[in-house]
Formats: sequence, structure tokens, C-alpha cells
Amino acid sequence: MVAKETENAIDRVVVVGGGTAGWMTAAGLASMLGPTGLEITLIESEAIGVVGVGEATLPHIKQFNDTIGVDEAEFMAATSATFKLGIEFVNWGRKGDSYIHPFGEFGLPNDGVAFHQYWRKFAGQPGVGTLDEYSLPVIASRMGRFQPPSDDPRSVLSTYRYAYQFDALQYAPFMRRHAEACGVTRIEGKVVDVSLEPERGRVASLTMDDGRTIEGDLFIDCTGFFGLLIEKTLETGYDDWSEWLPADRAVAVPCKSAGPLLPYTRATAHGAGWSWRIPLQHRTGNGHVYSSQFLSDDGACDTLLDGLEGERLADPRFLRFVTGKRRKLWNRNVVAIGLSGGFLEPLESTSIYLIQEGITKLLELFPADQNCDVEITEYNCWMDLQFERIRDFLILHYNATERDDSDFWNHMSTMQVPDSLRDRLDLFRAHGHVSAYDHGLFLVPSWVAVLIGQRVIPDGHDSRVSRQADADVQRHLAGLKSHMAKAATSMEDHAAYLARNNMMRAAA
Amino acid sequence: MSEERILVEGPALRTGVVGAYLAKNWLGAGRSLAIVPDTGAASSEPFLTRSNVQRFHAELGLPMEQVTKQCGGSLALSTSVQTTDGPAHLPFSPVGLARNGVDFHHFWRRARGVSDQPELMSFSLSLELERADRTPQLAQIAQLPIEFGLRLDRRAYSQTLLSFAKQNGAEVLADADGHSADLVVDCGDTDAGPIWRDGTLRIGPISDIPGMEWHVVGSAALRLSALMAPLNDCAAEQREWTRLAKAERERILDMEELLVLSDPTTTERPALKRKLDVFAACGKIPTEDYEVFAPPEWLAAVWARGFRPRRYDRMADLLPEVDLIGWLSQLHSQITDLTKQPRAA
Repeated sequence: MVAKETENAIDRVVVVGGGTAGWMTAAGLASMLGPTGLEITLIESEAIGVVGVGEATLPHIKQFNDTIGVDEAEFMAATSATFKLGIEFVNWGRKGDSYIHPFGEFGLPNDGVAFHQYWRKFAGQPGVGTLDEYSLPVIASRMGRFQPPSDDPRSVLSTYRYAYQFDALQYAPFMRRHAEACGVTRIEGKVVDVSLEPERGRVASLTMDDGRTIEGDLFIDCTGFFGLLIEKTLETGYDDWSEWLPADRAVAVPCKSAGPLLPYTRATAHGAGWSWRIPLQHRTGNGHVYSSQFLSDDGACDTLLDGLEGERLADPRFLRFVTGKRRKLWNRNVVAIGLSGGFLEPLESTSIYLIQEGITKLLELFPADQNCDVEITEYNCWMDLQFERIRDFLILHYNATERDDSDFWNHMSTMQVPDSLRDRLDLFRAHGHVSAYDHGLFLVPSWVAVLIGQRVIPDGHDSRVSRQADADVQRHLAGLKSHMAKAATSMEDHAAYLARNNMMRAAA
Repeated sequence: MSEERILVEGPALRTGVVGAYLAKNWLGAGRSLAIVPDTGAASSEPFLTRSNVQRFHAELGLPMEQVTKQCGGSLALSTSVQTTDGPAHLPFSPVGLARNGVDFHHFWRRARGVSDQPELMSFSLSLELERADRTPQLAQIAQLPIEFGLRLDRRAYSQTLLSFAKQNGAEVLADADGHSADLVVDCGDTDAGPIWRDGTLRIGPISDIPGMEWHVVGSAALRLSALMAPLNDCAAEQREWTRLAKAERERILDMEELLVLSDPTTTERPALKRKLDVFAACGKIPTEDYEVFAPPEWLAAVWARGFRPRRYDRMADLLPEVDLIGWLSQLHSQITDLTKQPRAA
């Protein structure tokens, strides 16, 4: 790089905190920038527990793993992982409802018009069925089938992507091995003091509990909710989004697996929140996210335990959080990645995605020296947008509902939503058009999945649909539905696929 | 149900673009489309279409060969604009080749620090082919990794599209007298911003940047078609069309300001300021939702206006120096060789 001010150069990165965020960040930086001479140190203490955020992921993680050279089979076995084709939402639109938000398309566009517009016109007519029946990943999920998507864009088997469900407590050690192989130095111990540069207020060094001093040029705060550097030290501030997303607690407990390994996560709505169910190879992860305004801890725990499908494997563990994000994800020479940067409930498995996005953007803007105010501003601008757009999508799940069976749901369904979401809902409700953006995680099929899944059925449809004869469209719908079902049937059983490809973790 | 009627009026080229697209994508049973072109403005001067012209014609089902033949067309690989510092040439295709996700100019910048290198823009195959007067013909272009637009005869193209609209069921009228409509698409010149409200959709101002007339009118038609709903019940769609059109207008104004301000760093346009600041700092060009100009065009524009990044991407250091120099040399030679190939007959 040129124009580097030697005395201000950024050549030493210190990651504070292990866990998923810390080790992903260390591995990402070391893989991409280690060979350029960047020195990366990670500090963690075995005495400090990790939250183990986000056992369920989005398809983007495959790209991250591929980029840093992770072998998929090795990764699957090491983290007891299963494949994931989407998320099932139970009881959200109404009690008793179920839909899957898949990692893929619904049907195929026709004559430039989105598939769901054709479906809308004929929905309710005999044989047409639900929108889910036109999504291969949904059908495969329901059947417990999996196979990687086809590379042939003409094949219906190319219309989806996949993610993973893994044990986050095994993922961090896996990433650690990868990071250390790429040259990351791990320091065991607790940080007991943080020294700031007197004039510029940047973090200069960390003092460890054994008296050592660790200096660095750029610090990555992966200390979770505690926010040792970004908040406790720099007092960055926090944007509180509880107004729209009032869930502020979670209780988690693992249980024994029961039934077949399902290639999807389940999110079941309850009276004051929702519970997750994440099938792993060796156990099932469960948790209940709820609002303490509307439900007690005991009540939340009872709901969770009542819903377990297998024998409980540990005591319930409670978490408290405030939904929102730091006012600046990058402040001075500290970048907050993971829970230290913000928290959005894991309803759409976005926690690890946001870690990944933080790493990717940091790599893209990685500064040469401390004269990097522009890079900091750009990073914060980008991450703010990512957080806000995910926030809107999460609010949608609560707001687009017909549930009125509790104070919680009455509050959520009648609250004032952000203008950006309100306009989007109005547009869809009219004739099924979806307002798309270029920079945001959730694309048109995701919005359609949740909107239709939660009974936001447009009043009308795109008028171009009527340019085709009804009989032709109905024939097309029937053919497509049958084709999708056949394709799903041709896929392998999920567990059998894992076993055949040496992806099962050896029994302890 | 009563018939829905759309009336498109304005200069011939613009009404031709909108009319042809709506005739193909909207007309059907219970709908009528009338076009009132002002043919007075349709001279034979050439005008530019941008690289999305291929998609546009594909959607109409108009073969590119037919359009270029009927309309005296030739391929265009870039937009040329006048700035206060002189002409700027904005290629539709990337300058050089990106490597491992890192744009070429970062590698060029690093190489420039250790050895003499040709100017950055000489690594643009598009610009070098045009500079050497070796712009390929349509039959050859598929062999090259470059995007292209078309330079077309305005009058001939207008007539082609109006004829196409007529063949697909639209009426082409001399004037609008006696024709009422549920929606009037006003393609005329105006300083007022784009808006669709009640029964009128105003395309809005047209930028002087070559290619923008076709682009703005074409995207207005695409957007209108994509948001089609019953014309007496489309308030939400009207708001969305207007929002998107205004966003597009803002992106065009960003580029205009970059090109015409004597000192672009004084801009008060937030998105432009963001682009200039980030580029000057680290050579990246951040994008907004709904960009009009492609990254290579932005790169060429900021470069032409004298902006240079203070550093290159650290990941460009991953390539060993000897490999870097060899790669650039080979790339430049390949481009030079292509510019020396015989002209097509």
C-alpha cells in the first residue's frame, strides 16, 4: 500500500474475545490479510463462557467458508452440522398456520412477471394449492430430503441454496484451528484494564490479568453483550429498537434428538414471543425468545420445556438483551463484531450473517493507517443499512399477523412500523408487487414467503397476468407443481446424505 | 369492465420507446394504447443507447441485428462526455480485470509504484478499441468480454419502434384531440421531476449525458410495466414508481455534478460526496440502491476529474511483484494486439 504513515500504520490487529465472532473474525482476517504481513492476536479466557450465538445460519456462510478454505465435509463433521433449506414458521399468521421461508425461488417467472402473481390469481381454485407447493426447497424440507443444488441453470434443482445448522460451541474451536493454522496468535487470559491514547482517545493497549500488556493498532471487540472496548471503554452508545422489537429475553436448553434429522429450522410463535428448534446431528437446540413486559421468566421456561421433543440435556440458560445496535459499529480504532455490535433476535438466523458482513466489509475497507475516518464512516453507513433492513424484515413477522389472542400480539399487530416497512406493506397488499433494493439481505422471494405465509394476500395481482389465457396458466401451474414434487422425491434423505458423504461426527 | 386506455405523448423517440414496450408488455384484451409522437424533433442525428439495450430489445422480441440494420446502428463501448477538464470517456466494461474480488486499478496502482506502467485507462479494452477506431461489429462482439450499447439514427429508430408498437396493437395518432385516457404518459421536456400521480405519469427531465434520454425513457417504461395494476386502483404503485424514478434521477444528477462542477469536492450531494470521499481514501466506489451508471463508468469519471486514491487495497499485495508486473504487461499486450486486428468488412 502507498501513502501509509509508518508511525500510524495498522499492522497489528487484536481481537478481544473468542467465540463465534472472535474466531470467525480472526480466521477471516488471517486468511485474507495474514500473507500481507498483518499480525493478528486473539485474546480469550477459558474462564469466560461464550453465548454460542446462532446455531442456524444463512446460505452466505458457505461463501465465507469457501473463501477462507474450509472443507465442507470436515466442517460438517467437526460441528455436528446439518443442512438447512429454510425456516419453518408455525403459528405466526394465525395459530395453527405453518409456512417455510425457503432459501430459494417460488416457481419460475413467466413473461417477465413474478410467479407469485400467477399463483395469486388462481389461489383457492381446485388443485392450485399453496405457494409452498411451488418451492423445491420447501417441498424437500417437508420430506426431509437434501442434495446440493445443481449447477445447471435450466434445472429446477438449481433454484435454491442451502445453509447449515451447527453447534456454535463446536464451530468456534473449529474456526480457532483454522485461524491458528493461518498464523493467528492466541493469548489466554482476561483483560483487566484498557489504556487509551491521551490525545486521540484511541485504544492503545490492554492489560491482562497476569500483568502482560498487549498493544495493537486496530482492536476488534468480540466480547459479546459486555462490549468491553466499544461500550465500557469508548462509551459509543446504543440505538434501542425495543419500540418495534420488544423481545428482550431468551431461555435456551438442548434436548435429545427425536425423529428424523430435518433440513430446516423451526420458529414457533407463542403468546409473548417465539421458540426455536434447531436439529443438529447429536442433539436439538431449543430456545424461547420473549418479551418480559408480557411474560415472566418462569412462564417462558415452562413454555419452552413443555415443547421439547426429546429428553432435556442441560439446565435452562437465560439471556437478557436489548434489540438494537451500537451507534457506531466502528469507533476510533475499535470495530465491534458480533453481539458487541448489536443484537437482533435470531428469528431469521441473521446473527452469524451480520458477523460475516462485518468481517467482509472490514476486509474491503481495511485501512493502511490510523488516518481512516472515511473508511470508518463508510463501514458504519454500510452496517447501519444492513441492520436496519434486517430489522424491518423481523418486524414484518410480528406486524403482519391476524393473531389477537394475547396482549403481546395485539400490541405487535397494531404498532406503528417504520415508514420504509409501511410503504412496502401497502405496495404488496395492493397488487402483490414487492419493492426491491440492491443493498440488503432479504430479496424479493423472502418478502413474498413471509407476506404470503402470514396471510398478507394482495387485493389484486399484476395486470399482465391476465394477458395469458387462464387455461394455459392453470396448466402451467399444475405442470410445475408436479415437476417440483418429482424433483424433491429424487433427492436423497438428509441423514443418508450426511452419512454417505462422511459428514457425520464420530460418536464421542 | 370498461376498457383501460393509455395515451403516450412527446418526442418521437421517447414515445416510440415507451409505446413499443407497453404495446408488447401491457396491451391485451380490454386495453388500448394510443401514441402521439412529435415527429418534428426526430432528426437523423445519432443517439446513444446504453448496454441494457440488449435486454430491452430481447423483451420486445426485436433482434439486435434487425435494429442495427434498420437504424444505421453501430456498436458503442462507452459514453463520451465533456467536463470542465476536457472530454471524459466512460466505458461500459471494467478497466482491466478484477482479481480475487479486488478491482484492477488497485493492482495497477501498486505496479505503478514499482515500475513504469501505461496509463490506467489504456487497460480498458473498450476505450482502446474505440480510440483505435476498431469498434467491433455485432457479429464479432460475442467473442469479446465487453458490454456494448448502440449508436442509432434517431429518426429511423423512432419509426422502427412506432411501427413495432402499431404492429402490436397500439394506435399511432397525429394528435390527441378527442382521445381521453386513464393514464397519460408525458414524455415531453420539463424541468419538473418525475412523478406518477392520478392520471398522469411525467417522465421528468432528461439529462444531457449521452445515452440518458434512451435510458430514462426505457426504464420509465420498464418500471411502469413492472408495477402494472388496474389504472383506476394503483395509488401504491404510483408512489413506488415515483420513488424509484426519483432515485434514478438523483443518481444521474450525481454524475452530472461530478462532470460539470469545477471543483467536485464542493458538492453537497450526499451520495456523490460519499463516492468521492471513499474513492479518494481507499479507491473503492460505494454504490447506492438503484445505480444508473456502472462501476467502470464511475471509475472513469472520477479518474477524469483528477481523483486519485491515497492507497490501494492491501489484498493487491498478495500477488508477488514479479507476477504482478508480468500480468499487467501481458494484459496490456493483449489489448494492444486486439486494437491492431484488421477492421471488419
